[in-house]
Amino acid sequence: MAGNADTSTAADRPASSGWSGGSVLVVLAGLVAVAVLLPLSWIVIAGFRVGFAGALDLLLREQTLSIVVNSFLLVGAVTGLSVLLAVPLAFLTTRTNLPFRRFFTVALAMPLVVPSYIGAFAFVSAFGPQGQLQDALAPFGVETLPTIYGLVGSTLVLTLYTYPYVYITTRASLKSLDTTLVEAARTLRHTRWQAFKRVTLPQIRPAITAGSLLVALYALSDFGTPAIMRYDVFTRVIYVEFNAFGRNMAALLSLVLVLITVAILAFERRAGGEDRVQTDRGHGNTQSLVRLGRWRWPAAAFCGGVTALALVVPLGILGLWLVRGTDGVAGGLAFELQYVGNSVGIAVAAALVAAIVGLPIAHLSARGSSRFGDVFERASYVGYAVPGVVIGLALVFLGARYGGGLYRTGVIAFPLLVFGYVVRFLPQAVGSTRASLLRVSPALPEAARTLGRSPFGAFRSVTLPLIAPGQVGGAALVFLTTMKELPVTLLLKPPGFDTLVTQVWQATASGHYGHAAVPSLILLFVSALSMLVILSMEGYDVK
Amino acid sequence: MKDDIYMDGTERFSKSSRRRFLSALGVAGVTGLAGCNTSGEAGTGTNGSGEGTATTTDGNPPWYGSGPGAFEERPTPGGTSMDDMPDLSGTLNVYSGRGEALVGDLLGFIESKYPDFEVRTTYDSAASLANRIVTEGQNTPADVFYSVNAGALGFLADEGATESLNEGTYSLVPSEFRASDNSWIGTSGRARTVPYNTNALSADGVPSDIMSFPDHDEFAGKIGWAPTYSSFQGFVTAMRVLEGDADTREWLNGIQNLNVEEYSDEFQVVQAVADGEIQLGFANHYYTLRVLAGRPNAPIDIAFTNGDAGAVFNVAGAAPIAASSKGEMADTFVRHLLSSEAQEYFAVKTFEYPLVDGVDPVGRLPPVSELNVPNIDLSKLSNLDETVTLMREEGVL
Amino acid sequence: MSNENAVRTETAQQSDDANTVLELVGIHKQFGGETVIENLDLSVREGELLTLLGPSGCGKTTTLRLIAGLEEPDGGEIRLRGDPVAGSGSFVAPEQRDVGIVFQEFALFPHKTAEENVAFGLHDLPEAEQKQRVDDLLDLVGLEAHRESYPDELSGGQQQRVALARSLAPEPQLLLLDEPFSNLDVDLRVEMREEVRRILKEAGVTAVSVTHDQEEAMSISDRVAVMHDGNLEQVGTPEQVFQHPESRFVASFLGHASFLSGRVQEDGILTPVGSIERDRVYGLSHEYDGADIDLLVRPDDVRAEPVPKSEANGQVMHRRFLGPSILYRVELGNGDVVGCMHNHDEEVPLNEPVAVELAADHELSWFPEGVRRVARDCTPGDD
Repeated sequence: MAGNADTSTAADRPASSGWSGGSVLVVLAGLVAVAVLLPLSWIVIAGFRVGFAGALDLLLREQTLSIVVNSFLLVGAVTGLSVLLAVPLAFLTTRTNLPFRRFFTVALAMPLVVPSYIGAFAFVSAFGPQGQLQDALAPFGVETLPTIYGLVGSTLVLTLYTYPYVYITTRASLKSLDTTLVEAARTLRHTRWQAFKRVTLPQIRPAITAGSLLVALYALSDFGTPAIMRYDVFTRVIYVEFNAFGRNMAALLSLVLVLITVAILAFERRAGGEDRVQTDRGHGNTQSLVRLGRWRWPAAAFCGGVTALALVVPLGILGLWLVRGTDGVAGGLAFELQYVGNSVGIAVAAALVAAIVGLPIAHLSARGSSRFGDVFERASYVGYAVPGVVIGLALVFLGARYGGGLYRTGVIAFPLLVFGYVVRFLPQAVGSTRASLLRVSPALPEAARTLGRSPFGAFRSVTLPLIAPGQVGGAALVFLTTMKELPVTLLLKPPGFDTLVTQVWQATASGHYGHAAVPSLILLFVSALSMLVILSMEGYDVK
Repeated sequence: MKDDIYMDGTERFSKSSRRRFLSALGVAGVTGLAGCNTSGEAGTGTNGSGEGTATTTDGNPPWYGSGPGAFEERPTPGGTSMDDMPDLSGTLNVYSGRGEALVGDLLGFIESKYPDFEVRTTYDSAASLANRIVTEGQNTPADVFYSVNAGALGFLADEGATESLNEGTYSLVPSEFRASDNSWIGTSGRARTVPYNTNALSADGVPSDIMSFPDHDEFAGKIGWAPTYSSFQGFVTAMRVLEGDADTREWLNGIQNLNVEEYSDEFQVVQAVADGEIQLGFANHYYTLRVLAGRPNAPIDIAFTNGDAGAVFNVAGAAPIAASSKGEMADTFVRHLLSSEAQEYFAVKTFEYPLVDGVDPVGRLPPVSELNVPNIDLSKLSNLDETVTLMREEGVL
Repeated sequence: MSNENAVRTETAQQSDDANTVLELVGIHKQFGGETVIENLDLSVREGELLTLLGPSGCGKTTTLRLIAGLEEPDGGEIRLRGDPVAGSGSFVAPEQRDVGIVFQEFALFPHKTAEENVAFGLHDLPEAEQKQRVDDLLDLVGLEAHRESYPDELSGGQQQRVALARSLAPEPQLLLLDEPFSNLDVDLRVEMREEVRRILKEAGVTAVSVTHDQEEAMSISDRVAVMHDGNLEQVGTPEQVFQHPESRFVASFLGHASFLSGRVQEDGILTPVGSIERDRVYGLSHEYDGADIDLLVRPDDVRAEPVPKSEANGQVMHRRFLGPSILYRVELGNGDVVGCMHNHDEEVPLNEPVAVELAADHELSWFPEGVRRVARDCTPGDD
């Protein structure tokens, strides 16, 4: 791309002068959007193979209605609870004199590093029938505990491990909020709470909805948690079909899921409202914190409770597995250091690619110069909402169909795997980059243009350094989610390429939990480091 | 001690007399494990270098003699040795629905036998791999599919994705454990059983008719199952095939009325039986052996029911993939899974049933021929969708 | 007697006044160990518009925020109509103080229309009253036509009108304006000063505004309070503080100031531009006879005429064209530099000798040499 600017001849000038807002960007963004939508093609092709009668039968099945209802219940409950949890937590850690504020800022974001299936597993182990908690309580005469299965358990686990999406976006928004707006409201006879409701909330709403969207689509597409918690939702039925070799039926169900996703994306558009939001103008942000007074310690207890529930339960169960050790039966499961290298390497690759290819879409959408921007940005979410196993199979299809010998011999295995991750997690990179682009005044690259930079040169020397933190933050988020991604990894990884997460899967699937402890703990540790990157890119000092 | 083993070891379970066929297992287990060190070391001199290397000096696998999971001194198995099979060379892509923990050592052993042979294994669930092979079509990298159950194999065969085996390969296994057109073949088997606590029950105290269990009120609160476990769902599927949906529902409800204890997998069911938490349960046979391998004195034994869903015998198996250009090599590889070495591996390492004549199951399990197995198409047992729905409707899931 | 004491005397007198709306007594505020406001006393009377004037960082905005209740003082007391709202252990929340504020950036709620912004503080009123009040205010600020517009659809001046209307809507007993014109274009600024003053007077509200712009302060205020480094330097009418600054800082901050050094003699003051009669100097007592003083001269107080070198007492060093007028900087024989303002058509050549003469028709202020502030028995306010 640099070459493009350098080698442009005089004849190119008129075209290249419209470069920045223009067609090249649209084409680039369009290519990315089309690429990440490619897997849909298989879903459509396979879905249509079911035929009209089969589709009708599926749609009219009594079960179909109930899983649609269940899915919506789960998505609604998880999203709602995440907001109720994350917004106060974000507020407490940004705008109040909460005790141990720095610690909680980090600790409350950490549940995101726990793969939800490990979380679900841990919760069942801890709170399920015959779980550790009941074992512990049995001597006290507690024979049964309220069931953790079903909607309650699924909601609990998914909320605890996805609310950080809302927490992170809301924090960023609260930090850039013009606090004089709140002060204005206070002087206009509004109490703190009224001012929060009428001024702060509308201002941070786009950030909340952006985070909620990630939560909602995650809840919609997650298979592991509802499966472990035995709650019948779309993904579980898709998986049942898949396991019954009804992959066309699974595709058709996925198509319905895509339609639901599109509906959610449209709803988010509405809920997010128009962007009448004060962007950070660099002042009006007083450092004064809300004094919590006698609520200071209860607030700390609340933060501590959430942290404990979300982190201590899985860590405790993993610790238990670790202490109980390996039973020595499973020879092939011994931990090897290369799993760490493999996991980190492939996740870094996915993060880099996502950050780079997300840029044109983010730019187009943030600058609002083209109505394509919106469409492309929305399009990037679709892959995120389709269960990984379906995305994986779609890429298997595309790879085998069009990759030919390259696929067969495994030459394109790694590119395909990275592509799979990008399809699943691109919106995380786009969202973060887009948010940081919105904070860069368009006047800055314009100034660079007038100082003799080419459009690309201006972008590279002015815009890029300014959005770098957002890009790194987005890339770190992709890294983190790639680290814990399982279904696409299993379907697309080359033979012999084992990662931490496939190792955890191997161990738990064969019941050798002791062998899952070490890779799980390393997975959490490495992901926690990337979470520190995300938080520090938000500008917070996490030293 | 050795005498004990052989004295009891000669006695095998027979359906006519419901004696405790694992009755001396506790004692034998102690001997087996305690003797593991001595005989293992002794074996070093005679049988090879023992654990730690894939092959022994004489080419025998380390699990020969009395491996860690064996309950008795075992003679060198019969059947066909890998040495008498065609050589393997080059690279073979194996899609394995069986986990690395279970088969990793075996595949490693085969690999180490041939200097220029490499197995590249892709592990995933059997269903996922089967879907993948069909989706990949002509460009699938898979040469062999190795499945944990017959259902995935049957599906692939129906899709025309598998290649028929050579006679030299399929003839090693009785016809009931392979596809009629030999498009896939069983390599090892597992039986449904009723594990029971020997302190609480005698062999005769375990009903021999699976459908009669709900009538036994004496088991109320003392019986356990793992309904989310796929093997259990396969068992319910077999019941539906054999008895129909109505009777299956009635049975499920009957067991629930006994206040059945629920566990997350069948290993836990068996553990609970051994602990005396419950008196009996439903589980695949090898879980009991796994418990006994770790706790030789555990008061647990297994019973078989008679020719009903409770006695279903399912197989893990393999098939060469039609799209592969290495058909012969794939066939030879599958044949290796039926070698004496591999069959002995299944017997002593995974506690499964060997399917080849001349290799006995471990721990004086009755041979397959003595089990009263219902007549049922095994590849039908893996379609669990409707079963799951039915179980859910009855409130089991 | 120090000038500080003079101010304190003034406030002490006024605190008895029933017309006092706001009183600050001994206010002290620090941020992170750095003192921003030190022992500040100030009172504001019913209906007046008082402006806190000072350079940035002098503590004027902090004072405003303390009054509004957006900050809490570290010492001293704030009273609104005699009731303590901060200090002495009490603190009244901003929403209960009945104090309105117009922010520097206006702080209009971007997600609400002009009308909704104005109605924002009226949420306790019945809807009909709300509407009536909003209508009145939009009428007062002349924005009826833009009631449906969002802030980003309004011009700077319109935004300010909305901000003003919004803060006036709940009829606060005191209105605070934080650099209200700094966000506007120069033209608009002048226009809006008049407009805001008209609106405030029409609404009859007591107001405290804050600015660093002396022209703005003098043009809109009833009284000006000049702040410097967290201290109040002088409070008075615009004319008072301009003509009779009590400190060199006030003198310089309120407009271009030059200082002529002179020696007090029996019959006049001897300066580089000749002798100046005593009665042309403001309040100079005979105590100072023989002392060296500095006389404050504004550029329009002196004129420079080109003359032959022999008659000259200075030389033009610099010329700044200001449009309607020209400012010449003239170095006098003793090294003093004075600024002289001339009409734009009166050319005085650069680097040429000139004769500077005093053309002021008012009394000149003065400062003893080397002293920052003057001690003088000045008469408080002209009211």
